[in-house]
Amino acid sequence: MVENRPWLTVFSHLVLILGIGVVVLPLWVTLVSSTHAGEDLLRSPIPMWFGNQMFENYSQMLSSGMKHVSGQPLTGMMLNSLIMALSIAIGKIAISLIAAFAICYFRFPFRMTCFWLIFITLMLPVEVRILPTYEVIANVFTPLTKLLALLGYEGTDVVIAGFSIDLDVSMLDSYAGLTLPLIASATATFLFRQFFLTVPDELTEAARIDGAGPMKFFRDILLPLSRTNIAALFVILFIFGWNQYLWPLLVTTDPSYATVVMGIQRMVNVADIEPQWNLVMAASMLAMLPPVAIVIGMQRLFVKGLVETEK
Amino acid sequence: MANLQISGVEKVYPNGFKAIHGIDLKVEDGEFIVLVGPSGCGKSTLLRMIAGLETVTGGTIQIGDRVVNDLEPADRDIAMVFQNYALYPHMSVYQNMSYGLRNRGFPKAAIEERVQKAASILQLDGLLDRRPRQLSGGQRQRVAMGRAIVREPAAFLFDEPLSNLDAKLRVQMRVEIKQLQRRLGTTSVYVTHDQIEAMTMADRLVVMNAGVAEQIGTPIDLYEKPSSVFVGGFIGSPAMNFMPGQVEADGRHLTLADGSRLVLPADGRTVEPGRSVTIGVRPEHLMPSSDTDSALKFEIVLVEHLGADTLLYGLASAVQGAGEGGLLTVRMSGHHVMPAGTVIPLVADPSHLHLFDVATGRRI
Amino acid sequence: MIKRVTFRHKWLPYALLAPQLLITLIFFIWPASQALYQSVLQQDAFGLRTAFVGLDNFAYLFSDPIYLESFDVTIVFSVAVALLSLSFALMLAVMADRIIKGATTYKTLLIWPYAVAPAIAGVLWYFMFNPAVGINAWILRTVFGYDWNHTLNGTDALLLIVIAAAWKQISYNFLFFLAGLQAIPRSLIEAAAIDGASPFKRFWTIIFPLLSPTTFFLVVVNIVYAFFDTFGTIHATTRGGPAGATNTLVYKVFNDGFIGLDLGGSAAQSVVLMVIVVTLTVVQFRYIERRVEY
Ligand SMILES: Nc1ncnc2c1ncn2[C@@H]1O[C@H](COP(=O)(O)OP(=O)(O)O)[C@@H](O)[C@H]1O
Ligand SMILES: [Mg+2]
Repeated sequence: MVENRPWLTVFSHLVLILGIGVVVLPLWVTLVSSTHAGEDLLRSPIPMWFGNQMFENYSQMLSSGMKHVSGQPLTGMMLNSLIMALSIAIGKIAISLIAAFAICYFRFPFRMTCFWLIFITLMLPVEVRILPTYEVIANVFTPLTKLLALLGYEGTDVVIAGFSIDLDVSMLDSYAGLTLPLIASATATFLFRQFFLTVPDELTEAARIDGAGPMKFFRDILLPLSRTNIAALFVILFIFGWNQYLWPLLVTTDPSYATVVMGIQRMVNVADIEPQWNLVMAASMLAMLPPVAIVIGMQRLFVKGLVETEK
Repeated sequence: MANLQISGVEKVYPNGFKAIHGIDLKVEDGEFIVLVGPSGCGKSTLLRMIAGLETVTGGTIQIGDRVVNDLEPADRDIAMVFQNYALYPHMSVYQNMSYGLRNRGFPKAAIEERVQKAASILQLDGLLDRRPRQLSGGQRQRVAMGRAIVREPAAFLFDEPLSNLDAKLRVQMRVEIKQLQRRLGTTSVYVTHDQIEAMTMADRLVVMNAGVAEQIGTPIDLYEKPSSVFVGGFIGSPAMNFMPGQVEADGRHLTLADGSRLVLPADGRTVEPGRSVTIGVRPEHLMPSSDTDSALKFEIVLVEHLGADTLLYGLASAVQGAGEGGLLTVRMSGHHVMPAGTVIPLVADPSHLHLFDVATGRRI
Repeated sequence: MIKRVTFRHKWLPYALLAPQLLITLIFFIWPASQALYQSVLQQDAFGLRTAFVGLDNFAYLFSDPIYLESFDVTIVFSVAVALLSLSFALMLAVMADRIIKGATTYKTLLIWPYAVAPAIAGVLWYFMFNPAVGINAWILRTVFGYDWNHTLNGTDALLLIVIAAAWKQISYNFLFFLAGLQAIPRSLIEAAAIDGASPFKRFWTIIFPLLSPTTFFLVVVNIVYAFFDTFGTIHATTRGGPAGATNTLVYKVFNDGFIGLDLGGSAAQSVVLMVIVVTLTVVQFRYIERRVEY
């Protein structure tokens, strides 16, 4: 502190406490509401202190879900979310690591072309290419069959050396469809590239003299050195994956593939009647829990990941 | 153990810059060779070509009886110590030292034995489980050495390994490295820009300048018979004094710019009378004289007392021709008190005069 | 760009790049080029024939009052989100930078909303403002006599999603502002204090100007966020309504493409969005380049 002005310090604390009040209020309301019976939340003002239905609400949501809106248990949805978040985080990290390794540590024709192709993905979020991406998910070979059609070959079967290959593979309602299109990431590739550029060249040279080839160097030296970066990125990407909304909404119609974040809107947007807020709030708590726990538990890595992915 | 032969080696970098202009060097088995020269003269480039870290664009490099031009660094049977040590930060000292052996498929017991032996030679015994960042600069330096010696390679290559240490440690490690090399008898090529390090460590030195080897020889050779103005000026501290001069008609004296005269060495060399030369004379070979007529005039500007020696810095019109005069350095043994502004007449020891061609800078 | 020391290998680099490139080509480049391609085509009513129509789809788009309204909504929404979230976060960051005791606790309590999905954030505020039972709606009614109703009143609906979207972004802005504040050399502020500047004056004459690179960066990031990452917030709550009051460009492109199934029009909207992202990305990168080069 530059000078000692006690009232200023008190004022700072006061502002912060008020600010935190605003920020935390939704969480408080959600938590409290999720412990009440449905009827308690039909009268205004709703209670601001805990009720006694916590166990009932949460166990109902986890085991059977909300009855009148197709009633999927949240356990399954959360598992789907977990699968999606983990696949996206691990997949992105894996393919970005090796791509950045190739771009930094090899000279080869079309290196810059590859770099720019990856860079372009930065400018193409799902939101701007919804329909055509959906088409590709509906049939992964769409690009191929359309290109073949351009060359005068019609149909979705290709015969190669006597084998007929069916070029009609849909990824709708599948984990592959949920995750694959999201695991290409320019951001992660750039982060690793940035980090690799700071690894001293002498380390690579020492490893070469020690008899390590490219993959051995990658595994023995580069990967262990990237550990903190990987962990920090994992935190960010896990949250990114868990919180996906538009994409699961598009590619899944089968409720057994629904993710929890996307599933909640079905409980809110019910026709003509008030949603069962106690249950919706219990579901919201469950949907928030994993990513919030990760941010708070791994605060240092989270901040590092956030700051570094923005470079 | 092996010798190392470098024949007509050239290096052109991909950007077209020619860093090495053809160097020949034969390093005997067990010899300690130092490549020395100012920053950017190509020392590292040459060393890295020997290591296989840079491609060789001309000439051949031979280690033992194999031409290694196209071999991977790992297959050349060399070990290298880097300026920043290049220790693997995530590995323990033990893992750092054994990594190369593990990659070569050495049996565990053999690795253990070699690492332990190297550790005890380098006094690293208690530190094998530490990470590099838990070590002091000197200890890191030793681990880098250890990583090289466990391999028992045909040659050690050092690229300014002491530059990151403080002055005191540098002197200590310099002695240690030299002793270790004597003891192991491994052929070594050592790069430094520090001429004192070079002089004290080398069996033979290669003085490099702008991609060429100016002179190759023992430290004493280079000190006593520098082959060019560049070598004369680079080796020795404080640096050699240079001044223009002309051989007199008698062929036995030199006239300097200020009219003073120096006696030419009577060592049988003949220099044609009337020829203009560059005269080189080391600070310790200039001394006060009583003969005030022919001696060159030197006006003291600054005196440095080193204890054993006294260094006099001053101006002499002989150095830069007419006018103000250029800077000249004189070293006198013992302690002398002389106020700035004193003018003293100087003469040079004739047997230690060096004559160079004015145009080429080569020794005459 | 590339390491000085590289490995030599004929096919390995391509193999290492293959997964990323394959996914990029199939799920990014191809669909994007399809959008570009379809944006100049038009299908007849039965989807049987397509014809090249040049820029007609775009001309139609920009003469469509609903689209133009959606543009306005998006701009008002983005600016409001950025302003609200940035000013709130800046205030908290400045206070957090001042204090020594409890700073970590405050920080922890402020960063968690980052982890909340935009859709969930929407649902939480949707509930709090629920006209019948929401606690905020109740306060507005009983304390201020205002009858909040986001299902009927467009302004209320827009405000709702602005608040929900801004709330979620506070954490992010707070962290970057705090980092920016902590990077300002203490000596500068001390010098200003010695020069007799009051804390308030110091903020506006020294701290805020020095913070401007961070602020600029955050403005761009917040706009991008408001444009593209708030689909869930809207879809889970107001669904673009009432009467298009929260119908942002991204929500509209989804709605028209999937519900309306107008291929050419939807593709043209995608292309417009692409142009916006490219522009924002370029702006952001120019700024980052400056920052990296010092
Ligand atoms: N990869 C490179 N490409 C182009 N020029 C280089 C490269 N590496 C070094 N050089 C140039 O070659 C010359 C010699 O460099 P180096 O061998 O590192 O000098 P030093 O004697 O200081 O070790 C320098 O002028 C340097 O700029
Ligand atoms: Mg060098």
